[in-house]
Amino acid sequence: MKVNVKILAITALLVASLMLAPSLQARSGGINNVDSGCTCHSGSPSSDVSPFMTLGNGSALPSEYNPGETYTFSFGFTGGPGSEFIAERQNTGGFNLVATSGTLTILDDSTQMIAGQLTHTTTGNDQMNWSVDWTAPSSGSANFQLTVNSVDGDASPGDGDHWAQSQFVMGAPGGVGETTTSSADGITVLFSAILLVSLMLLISVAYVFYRANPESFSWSAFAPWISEWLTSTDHKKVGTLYFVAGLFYFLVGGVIALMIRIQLSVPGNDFLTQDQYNQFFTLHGTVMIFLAAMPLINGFANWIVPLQIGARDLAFPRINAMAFWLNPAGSILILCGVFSGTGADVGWTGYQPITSWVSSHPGTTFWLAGQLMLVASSTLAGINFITTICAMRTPSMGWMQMPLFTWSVFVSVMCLFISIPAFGIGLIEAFLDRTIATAFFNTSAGGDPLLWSHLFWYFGHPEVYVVIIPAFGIVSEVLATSSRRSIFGYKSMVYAMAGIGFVSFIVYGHHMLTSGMAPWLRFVMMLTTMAVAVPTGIKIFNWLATMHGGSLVYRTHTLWSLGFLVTFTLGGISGMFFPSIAMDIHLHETYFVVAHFHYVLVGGTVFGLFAAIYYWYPKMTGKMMDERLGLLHFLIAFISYNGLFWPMHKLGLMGMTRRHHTYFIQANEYSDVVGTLPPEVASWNSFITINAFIFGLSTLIMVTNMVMTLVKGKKAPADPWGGWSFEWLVSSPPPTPSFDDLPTLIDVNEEHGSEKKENWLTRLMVPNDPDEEGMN
Amino acid sequence: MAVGGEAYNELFDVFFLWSGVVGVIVFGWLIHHSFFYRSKDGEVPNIDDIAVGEFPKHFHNTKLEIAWVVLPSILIIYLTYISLGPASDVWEDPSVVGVEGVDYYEVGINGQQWFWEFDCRNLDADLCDVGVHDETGLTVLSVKKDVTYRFNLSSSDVTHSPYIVQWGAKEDSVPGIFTSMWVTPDITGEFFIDCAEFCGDDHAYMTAILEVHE
Repeated sequence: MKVNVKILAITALLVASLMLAPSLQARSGGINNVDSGCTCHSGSPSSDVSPFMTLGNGSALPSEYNPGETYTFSFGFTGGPGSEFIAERQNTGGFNLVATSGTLTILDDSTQMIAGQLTHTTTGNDQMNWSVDWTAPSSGSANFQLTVNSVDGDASPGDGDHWAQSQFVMGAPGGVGETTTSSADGITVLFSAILLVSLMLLISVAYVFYRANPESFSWSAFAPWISEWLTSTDHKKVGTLYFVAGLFYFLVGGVIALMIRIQLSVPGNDFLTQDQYNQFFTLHGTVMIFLAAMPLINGFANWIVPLQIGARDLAFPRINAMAFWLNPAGSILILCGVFSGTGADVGWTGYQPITSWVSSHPGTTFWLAGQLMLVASSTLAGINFITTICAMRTPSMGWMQMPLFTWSVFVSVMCLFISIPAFGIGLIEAFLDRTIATAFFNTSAGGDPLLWSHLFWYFGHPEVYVVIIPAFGIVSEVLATSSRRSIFGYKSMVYAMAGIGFVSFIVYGHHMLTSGMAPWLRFVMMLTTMAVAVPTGIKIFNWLATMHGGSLVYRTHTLWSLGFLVTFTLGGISGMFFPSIAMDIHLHETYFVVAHFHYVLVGGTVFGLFAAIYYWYPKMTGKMMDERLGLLHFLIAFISYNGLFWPMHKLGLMGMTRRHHTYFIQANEYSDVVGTLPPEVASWNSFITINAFIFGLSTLIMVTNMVMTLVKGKKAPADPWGGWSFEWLVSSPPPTPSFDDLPTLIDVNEEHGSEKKENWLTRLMVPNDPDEEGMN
Repeated sequence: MAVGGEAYNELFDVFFLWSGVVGVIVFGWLIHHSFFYRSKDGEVPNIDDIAVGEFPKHFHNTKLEIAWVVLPSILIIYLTYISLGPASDVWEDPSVVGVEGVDYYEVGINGQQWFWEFDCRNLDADLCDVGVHDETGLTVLSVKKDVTYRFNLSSSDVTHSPYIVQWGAKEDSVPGIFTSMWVTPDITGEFFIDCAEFCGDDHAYMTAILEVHE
């Protein structure tokens, strides 16, 4: 293969710049240091100015601090123009001090706090040294960044003024005594868990390889086998890769969630520091949405959509493989911050200005870069699926003859494809703000933090529908097949999905009802958000009607679909409380919101995906899953799931606020002030934590089931459940290419020749256009 | 008070009632159908003659489908209608929302990592006062019962959101934007203020107390 040198060079340059850009963030204020130094008096630093920082009595800073103790610092500078004798001097110098932890307290009127940083006042700029009180934090090392100006006293900036910057460090108490080694550090636990999950993945891969052919268990046989997987562009293999990656990160995200729950199980817990807690809930959100839910959905879309529409592969197989391989790369960037203890700590929403603020971790830059790669991945996948579904349906399949899962994937990638550029723009702006100090979100330079909220939620709201709509498709397929009926109201199902997709773009503001958005806009968002209930209601009632007159065959995927109906309906109902603005003012940012979106995202998307796993696993592997283990998984998971998330509604109504690393319960029944939450909140939180562990562990039943049946499950027939769409036509697992001759779809309704009446309603609907079919 | 009080409770009750109604219909239907229409053991009938590679015959009922477009829509319109009034209490000038001739007093609340600053302007100590709580050492803002206040919210660094927990009232304080919150306290007591918009390490510790006196 001829290597194009120019393209290689450009790629190398792009990769190098992408890798270098975040490291410039090593200085806390970005490369030109806008936030952290008083550089206003001079363009360049000078070595003749030397900053110093000592304790109040003149002795050097101790290498370790005592937690909670208050120290008095004396600091300032020597040298430079400020120390020279200049007649008619108006001032001598200034400073800026940033402490990464602990609390600075002003001692006199020569200093002031601006934006969390200590600086001098107009009184204080006649001095060369200042003092301040600092209260030590409970843990973690404290870094001080001192920037000083030594000025020539002409009261105007110019080359006569010099500045310098120094770092001072006080370490955390490390000796014997105070600190205990018995309590596990949160980050260590997370590493161990991720290593464990990775090890499980590797063992599973090796085991599957061994069982596939026990005789040739050697590296020389393994290398081509694994390289075939890693370089394949076949939609089924890429789908499996998506699926395995998604499941892996689902477990990682679950481990992070469990650690959050340990922290919250009792009030005032110190399992995680607030610093770690903030990274953990950020990563939980990002990992679960972008690295677990989306790849799992993509895995099924890759596998099933080409089979369902009778195509041999996706339209762009190599773009498909690239879209997948951007995922692991992006996930490493997203997680690498946390490996160094400085992961993104801004919440998955990454609200501004905290994301570009000096107090957020350097890992936030990596996190933004990683998400940018996922934006690229989603865009490529979107192009691919839209093209495939539009152009590669088997010639006899019209739009209104597509299986509902394919329809749902189509609607969902349309939403994603249209909304994700907004997110990409927001990420690029935030990335530039952090690295080269642009000012998109910096209010002091005229930036607007609400711009991010708008860009993020313009994407973020369609995004949650992007992950729920494929679950609608899955449940439609599963319920109809299990009821042994055709789906009730196929057309209204399609229009409802399209309607939800459309509405998703005009409701996003309900995430921002308390964010300072214009009041009239909040009213608009309230009206549109209320409207979401109508198409969603249509779908729920249609599913229920599908069961009418049917004969429900209970299998594991049937149970998950029925479970989906329960939890998704509950999540939909609790969602109706938010658009009503007066109630949203109360419920916003409380655990009621947490309960709601976990009811729709776990009870909706994840339950739908579980149903899909049990439904299509025989097709994907050719092996039947164990129904008894499936039943056990469903029962344990469904009960513990409700025990996990239902009480959160209650906590939210009591006023428990989300993203708090701890909570304050009433000290006793006579005091309703200190900590407002009633004492029962503590018991409910312990209850939730226990259920979280049961729910988390129940997932391992499914994983075990999948691995065990893969090697010694019963052989699956081509159509084990009695579905109608093309994926059941081919053998299990399907051959490559899936179809030798493109299959022909017979529409029973057309054969009967009835129901072809023209009326105003059918004219409005999408016709089965013969010309369009001819395009294929 | 304008937010978090009566309006919220009334709305919540109505929404909760209708949630119950919808829940009973859906779950009643679901439970009935999942037991009544289940297959007998080992029996896998083919009711609609589903066959692989054949688009199954349409199964629908236009009247029913229209019914469950129209009925939920009516409910939604009703719920939207009852939400409209209370919504405007939160941001608007009381004279605009129909409380004629009401005087109001402005109090500044500024958020910083990680504490609240209250600014009483030049109001009498009876109307607005800032102090320190005896037991906890938290900052206390004391205001008078049955007086309308406009809290002018601002932020010195990142976005915060003062959340008066027992009232259920909150609004973001965004740097560079001035937001406000209308309150007319109608009960006396001490209330907890915390921060509802994630603002960094000590987010959970960003607390203060609001005291309402006669």
